[in-house]
Amino acid sequence: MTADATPRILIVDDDASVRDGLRRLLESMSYCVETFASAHAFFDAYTDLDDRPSCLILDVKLPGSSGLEIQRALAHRRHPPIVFLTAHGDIPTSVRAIKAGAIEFLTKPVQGDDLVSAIGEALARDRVTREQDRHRAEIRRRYATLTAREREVMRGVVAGRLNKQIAAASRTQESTVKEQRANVMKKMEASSLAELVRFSALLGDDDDGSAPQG
Amino acid sequence: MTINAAEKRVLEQIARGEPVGPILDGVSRLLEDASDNVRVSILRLSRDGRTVRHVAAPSLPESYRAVIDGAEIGPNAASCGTAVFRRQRVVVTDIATDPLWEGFRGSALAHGLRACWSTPIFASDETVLGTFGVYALVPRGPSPEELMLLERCSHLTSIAIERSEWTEALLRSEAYRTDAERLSRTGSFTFDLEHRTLSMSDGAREILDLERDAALPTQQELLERIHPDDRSRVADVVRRALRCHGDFDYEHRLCSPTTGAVKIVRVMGRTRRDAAGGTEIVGACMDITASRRADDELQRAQAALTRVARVTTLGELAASIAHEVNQPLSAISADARAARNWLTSDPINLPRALESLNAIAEDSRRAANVLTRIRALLARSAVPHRPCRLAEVVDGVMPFVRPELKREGIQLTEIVDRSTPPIMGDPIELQQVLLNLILNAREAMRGVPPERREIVVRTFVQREPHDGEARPMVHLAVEDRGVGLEVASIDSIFEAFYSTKEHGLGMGLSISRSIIERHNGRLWARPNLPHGAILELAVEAVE
Repeated sequence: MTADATPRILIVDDDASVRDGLRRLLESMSYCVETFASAHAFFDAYTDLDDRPSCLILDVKLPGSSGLEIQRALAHRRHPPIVFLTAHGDIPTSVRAIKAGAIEFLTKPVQGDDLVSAIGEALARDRVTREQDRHRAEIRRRYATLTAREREVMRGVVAGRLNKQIAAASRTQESTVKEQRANVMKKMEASSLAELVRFSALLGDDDDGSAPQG
Repeated sequence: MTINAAEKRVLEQIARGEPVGPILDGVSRLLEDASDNVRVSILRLSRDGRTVRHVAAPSLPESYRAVIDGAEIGPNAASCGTAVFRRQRVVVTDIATDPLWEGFRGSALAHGLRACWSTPIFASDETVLGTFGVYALVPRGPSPEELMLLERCSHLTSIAIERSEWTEALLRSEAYRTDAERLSRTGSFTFDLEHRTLSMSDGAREILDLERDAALPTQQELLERIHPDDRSRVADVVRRALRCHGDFDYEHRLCSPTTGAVKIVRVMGRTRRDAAGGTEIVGACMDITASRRADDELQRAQAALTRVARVTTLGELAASIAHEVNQPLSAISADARAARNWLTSDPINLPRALESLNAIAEDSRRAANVLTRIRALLARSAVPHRPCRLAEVVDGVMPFVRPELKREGIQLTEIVDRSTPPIMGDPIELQQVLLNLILNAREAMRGVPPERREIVVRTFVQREPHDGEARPMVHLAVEDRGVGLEVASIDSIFEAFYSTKEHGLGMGLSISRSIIERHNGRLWARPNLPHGAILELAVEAVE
């Protein structure tokens, strides 16, 4: 768990005084701040492998490609929640940005409080997302330790079938199934049937027998 | 009275233009008096050439005339209808038995008409005008003398009818002309230079406020009606036209001698040789007071629109201005909070707090500058013209447009000669013109390739001949590499409401030109080769 690492704020704005003003404000709040003057400079430096909770602040109007274009380019990869800044309230644009998953759409001059709370919300969401990612990875790691037979039993159990039924379907002893079932619960670290069902849901369609990356 | 004397009298009546009805009655009586017991019937063929109607029959009873009026011509249409149809004389010696009279026999016999000979009346172009018919009260044929007289009377009738119809057509066309002149407030006139005689149409009389029947004014009286300020100019134009035998076209004011009201009149004409070899002036005049007044109204409306468009231009810039003010305000807000955070942190971080406070001071100055420029741009322009430099005008506009153009990837290049002499003008208005020209150039470069997105603003001095001496003119040119101008539209771009922009009012360039004209300058457009347009203005330098 790295939830207590210093959160990282990425700012893309072509106006130097806005960029620097925001940097000074966020540094005074102990955030780690990186600023970029253009979309180009941002993409040169951006990586999604950083595991600090992050937030991306984008000016809508940028020379070259706009803030919305950055949002579009990031859509298909893991990226921090986005807070947009705009010089004048353009409702259709803000609706599009929010629909595409932006946290907030703030009109300049930005009030410090609004920005701080938007960043807070963004970081909270990013933490949750990262937590979920980590959780999913852990479940996959556990699942990878199951044998093929154990995975089959787990599928039957999650589908709500009795040991007797699973045994009949695979022509084995009910006692053998009972034993395998206990192994599944143990390896998956599930304390109840309900928890096992939840883990199974997290695995999604990856339940193809191959061992996913842990 | 002999036949010859009677005939002569009829011809005199025709020549004098007397009414055709009494003349034809006279012709009828001439023939009736020459024979015993005959009745004359003169019929006119209808316009469509299908029916006949009496134009004279002084001795035939009304009841009989009514039967014949409107009768159709044809191969069996009594004597007269048949004569028209055959285009030759028809003689019926006994109406009671002749098959031609089948349709009208009863009526004719009831009125005691027993025989009838009729000859077509030919016009000078050989068309049939009608027939000249003679009824006898006993069954008989015409004597050779009677036939000869019939032909002579028919010929007289032809002359009378043709003359009367020509006169009518002439009057009708005259009436049309009068109506048309009245509707268009025009008139026409001729002036015979040999005999110093003037004639004019009713329309011209109306323009001159002359009574329809009043005597024509003398040359002197005419000259006196011309506005005193215009007299010598009009006299000049007329003298020149007489000397050169050319066309002339001028406008002047007319003062009514009775009411003193002033009219604006346009006079067009030419001098030419008339048929007799003399020289005459023919011309037309037009009362343009109303349309001139409408022009003035238009000008007033345009002035009102100028103010509206001034606001619109600013509105277009409002977004850009808001952006300019918002940036420093955002930074100030952030830095204020940052400074507070550093000052309340433990331990206090004074250097970082100071850093933010310095930034606040800098950004406040930046915001204030933007506001100062807006105030200057918004200021009312009722100020009198004063010496100012075009370089300063350029300096006043650049900060507004540069960020917006940069955002759109348009490079703005200044080639400004700072040593140009001053001009007399209103810097704010001139800024507005430059702003319009730059916005226009920006518009023209929508959708052109990025490497062509460049606007060049240039100022320079050029000495140009003006009233015989070379005067320095200060030029300001805005060059773009955009879509360029159609040669055909190069002048119309300066007209109000001409716009190639989907949402443009089309006022920008029209207003710009009127502003420059108020500065006694010129604003024009020309192509910028190979791409784009150059809009250039020139205003005279102050000595």
